[in-house]
Amino acid sequence: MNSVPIYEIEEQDISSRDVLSLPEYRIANRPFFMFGNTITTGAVIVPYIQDPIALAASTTICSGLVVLPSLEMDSIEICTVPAVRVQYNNRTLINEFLNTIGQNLLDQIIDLIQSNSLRQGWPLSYIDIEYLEDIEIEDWHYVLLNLIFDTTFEHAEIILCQCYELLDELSETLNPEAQEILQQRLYLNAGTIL
Amino acid sequence: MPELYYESINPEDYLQLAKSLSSQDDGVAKRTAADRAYYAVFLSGRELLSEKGYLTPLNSERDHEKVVNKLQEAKLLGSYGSQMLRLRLARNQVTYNLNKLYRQPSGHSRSLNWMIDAAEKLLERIKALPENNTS
Repeated sequence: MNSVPIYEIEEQDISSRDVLSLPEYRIANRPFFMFGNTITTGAVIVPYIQDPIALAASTTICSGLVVLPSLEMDSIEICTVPAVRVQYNNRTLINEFLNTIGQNLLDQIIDLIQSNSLRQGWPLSYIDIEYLEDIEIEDWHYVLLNLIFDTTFEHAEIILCQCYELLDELSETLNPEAQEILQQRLYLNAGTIL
Repeated sequence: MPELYYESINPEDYLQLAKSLSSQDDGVAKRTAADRAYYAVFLSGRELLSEKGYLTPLNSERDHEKVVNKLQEAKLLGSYGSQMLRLRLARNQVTYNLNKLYRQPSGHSRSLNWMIDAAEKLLERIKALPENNTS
């Protein structure tokens, strides 16, 4: 069986790539696996795959390997892709506001969005999480997850609605306390870098 | 008979006013339209949620928070209720930030078209909610 030599992939220079160009690394419709904050994609390198594949070696968010056992070893290559970057605006306040249950829930939501982004090929550039106090209403605080897409605003809105559905499915699996946090403290928002 | 200052209103009419104002090529009209779009869905939503037995309004500023949180409940709009907060955040920008407002990645400003559309869709969904028989 034909295979692509590893060295051809490793020779690609990714050192100058900005993290905002992460969609370049995405391998559509490939199986993925998650280890904590890491998403690992097993990429099958066979002649019919036309897309260039880059090995993105991020020391902070990328680790772990997956072997697809049903395939011959000379036909597969393992590559990892970085999870979508997450940035926090005032993380201390976010953690205090959400408490331990809320923090775990936030991590779950981020994992859910990252994994679906990878699986469905969303043009998600990064996630910006901010803690806000309402400008008019005293003591009304909330955490906003801004999903920043590299696409049109209209397309981002469509994906946001898909995320709403994912959160609703997640909500059904939560205990009442976590559900309450999801309903009263966490909100999704979409933006674009275009 | 005391002097009548204001007639009673149907808050949904604010949405019609917003649409009407949106066609004007005037920053003040557009901002007023954006503000009214939010209030159309907030006030109508509050009244509808109250009529359907989901919410007991305080008739104060705290109702903004109550409506937003109530809509996010699973048996109401679920996560789609985030749209209400997004609408509010956009309205807060329009109302309190007098500078030019641009679209920014994590910014809260939204176009007037988006605000009117979001208000309409939210209102549609709130109207479609069944009566609350569990309380």
